[in-house]
Amino acid sequence: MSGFWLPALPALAALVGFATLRLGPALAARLAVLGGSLAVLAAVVAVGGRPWLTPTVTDLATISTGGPQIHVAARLDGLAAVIALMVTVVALLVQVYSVEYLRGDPRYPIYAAFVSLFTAAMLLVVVADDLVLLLVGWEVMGLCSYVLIGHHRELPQARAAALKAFLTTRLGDAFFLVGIIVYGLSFATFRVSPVMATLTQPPAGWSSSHLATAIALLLACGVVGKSAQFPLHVWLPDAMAGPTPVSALIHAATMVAAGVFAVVRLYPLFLASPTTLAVLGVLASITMVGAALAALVQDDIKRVLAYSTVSQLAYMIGALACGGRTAAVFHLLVHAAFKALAFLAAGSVIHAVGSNLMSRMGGLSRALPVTSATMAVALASGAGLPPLAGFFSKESVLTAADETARGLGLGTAAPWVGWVVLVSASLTVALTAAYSVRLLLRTFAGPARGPGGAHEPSRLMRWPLVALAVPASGLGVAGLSAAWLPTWVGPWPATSLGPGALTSVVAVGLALASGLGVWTLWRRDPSADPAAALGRLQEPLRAGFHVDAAYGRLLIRPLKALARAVLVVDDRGIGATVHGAGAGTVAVSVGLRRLQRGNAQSYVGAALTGVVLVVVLAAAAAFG
Amino acid sequence: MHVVYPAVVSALLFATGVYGVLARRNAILVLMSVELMLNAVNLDLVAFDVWLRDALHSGQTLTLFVITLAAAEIGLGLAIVLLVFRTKATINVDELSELGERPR
Repeated sequence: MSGFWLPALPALAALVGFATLRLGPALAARLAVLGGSLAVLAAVVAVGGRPWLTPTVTDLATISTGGPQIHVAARLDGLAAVIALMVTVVALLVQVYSVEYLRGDPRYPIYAAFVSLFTAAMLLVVVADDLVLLLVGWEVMGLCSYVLIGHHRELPQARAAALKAFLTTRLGDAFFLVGIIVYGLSFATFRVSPVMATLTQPPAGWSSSHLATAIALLLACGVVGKSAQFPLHVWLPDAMAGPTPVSALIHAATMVAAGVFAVVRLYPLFLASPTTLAVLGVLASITMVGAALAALVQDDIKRVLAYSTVSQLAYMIGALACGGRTAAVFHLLVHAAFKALAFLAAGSVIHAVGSNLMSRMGGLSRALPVTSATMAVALASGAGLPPLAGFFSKESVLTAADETARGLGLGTAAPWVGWVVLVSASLTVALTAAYSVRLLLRTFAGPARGPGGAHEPSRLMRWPLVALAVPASGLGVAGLSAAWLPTWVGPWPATSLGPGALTSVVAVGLALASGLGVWTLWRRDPSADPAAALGRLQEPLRAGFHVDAAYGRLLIRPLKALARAVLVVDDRGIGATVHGAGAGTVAVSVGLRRLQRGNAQSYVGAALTGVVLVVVLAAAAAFG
Repeated sequence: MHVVYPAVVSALLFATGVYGVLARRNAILVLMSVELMLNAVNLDLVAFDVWLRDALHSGQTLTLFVITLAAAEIGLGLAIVLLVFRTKATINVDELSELGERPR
């Protein structure tokens, strides 16, 4: 099966959706769900064809550029098929959920079409075997995220968040584009799989590793922007201004996953540059701890989950930095399941309460049994409680970091990178458990603080929750045998992703201890926020360490001042020369015009004087 | 006859014409002064034609051209002067300054 079927089906659904915007939301909903179902079907067929044994490469056309040719090529291998299955399943559930969540929204048809397009773009990234083609999907995703985050365009914060997401990721994308160009020039092709095949043979001994570092670092900038890693993470918490299903889509299946996926796809290139791996490892360590700390004190339920996403993505990047390619893919899949579930459950809570703020929730477990149960599954999985899926995937990340720290890792990173990732990841395990317990207690337990009358949403919103709870709790099995997930998403040494003894005891111990700590704090006063125990630390954490304010002071304000200075120079400097040339000519001509009195005889006199002068001078030159 | 005599006469005629063009205010006298200058040139052309013994007599030929042009020019000029007199009731050239810059 050609890999192009995967993006083509949702793209077709999006196109028909755009064409039939005026025919009402009922048709748009059917179209969106139909397109999503067909995409799931295509992904199931793709996985069923066991593409890890025989990858299918389709090269539809070549575009000559004068430099390296651009191939419209797709590669359907095990990795692409498995990720595509995850993307399509989450996208389908989001579409089903949105039908109910956005009922009565006048802009639902265009929303549904853009979600389809978003899915198509992500699938294009997944199957693309040419970096330019990958960039097309990558940028279309940027556009879709802009439109979908700004869906409530009447709200100023939604418009600002959309613009911020677009510009922040764009900053990384600029470097990404340069990286692709350097890649194309150095390898004389933009194709991925042939180049990666040559790089895999001598993994460590690639002769020009400075070039590898340059390309990998440039591409990593795009990854850092797209996957919301420090210092370009600022767009993701604000992206909460979009509708909740969009958050589920962006945080789980598309957009942020694309960054991690790009690294996995180009992993031999990153392995050739231990410097880049170290940079990614350090950035991921900063991000995972910082974001988890910020998640600890947020009052907006979606912001807690957003910071949690940033932190969990950092796990994947950290795993990649430590040679844990399979671990990163494993955590990507498991995270997609439990984070999509958490967001959809949060959407259900917001739908019932009418507010994002946890200070207006509380005591909802009786009114929302399905939502609270599925949310508990999602958060417990995220916190890494055995035997839920998150435990296994997080263990695989910790194991990769642990092996690198002891010098046994599969990657090329130095042992200290492993230590950094291992320590911060263990710390983050404790923080994750703390914010997960706090979110559960503040939302579903204790006295009710919001208006009464909350009730479960209709079936269209409940079923996606139940459906996602299955992989969120059970997907961990897939990593237990080396013949399963590690083989499917290869080629990479197919070792089992089962939990290590020491790391699992430490991680589960830390998670239980901090979770119990939060619970004890909460028991003292169930109506108060357990985060209040942090005292004066709350304020900087709630503001996300004031990164936004720092950017405002360090970057935005100087840039605006520079813009004003440029305006002044343009107006008073360059503009003045243009206006001055005109005004000066007029001023000079006033004097000359005075001579033109209309007396023809004076003109003739002047002309004659001139002739005489010329003759005299010529004679003087000739004879003198 | 030495060529210097007609040349000097021609120069005097031309200088008189220049004076008339520059100094006279009556438009008809200005036109007459222009005729003086043209004829000074004619005299020069004929004199030098003879003095240089030009086989083609191009100087005399050119003189015939100049006479024809002068006739046409004076006809046109006098017609303009006539029209100017009809509209402005004057043929004083220093009063005819409509096309010049107005003094501010």
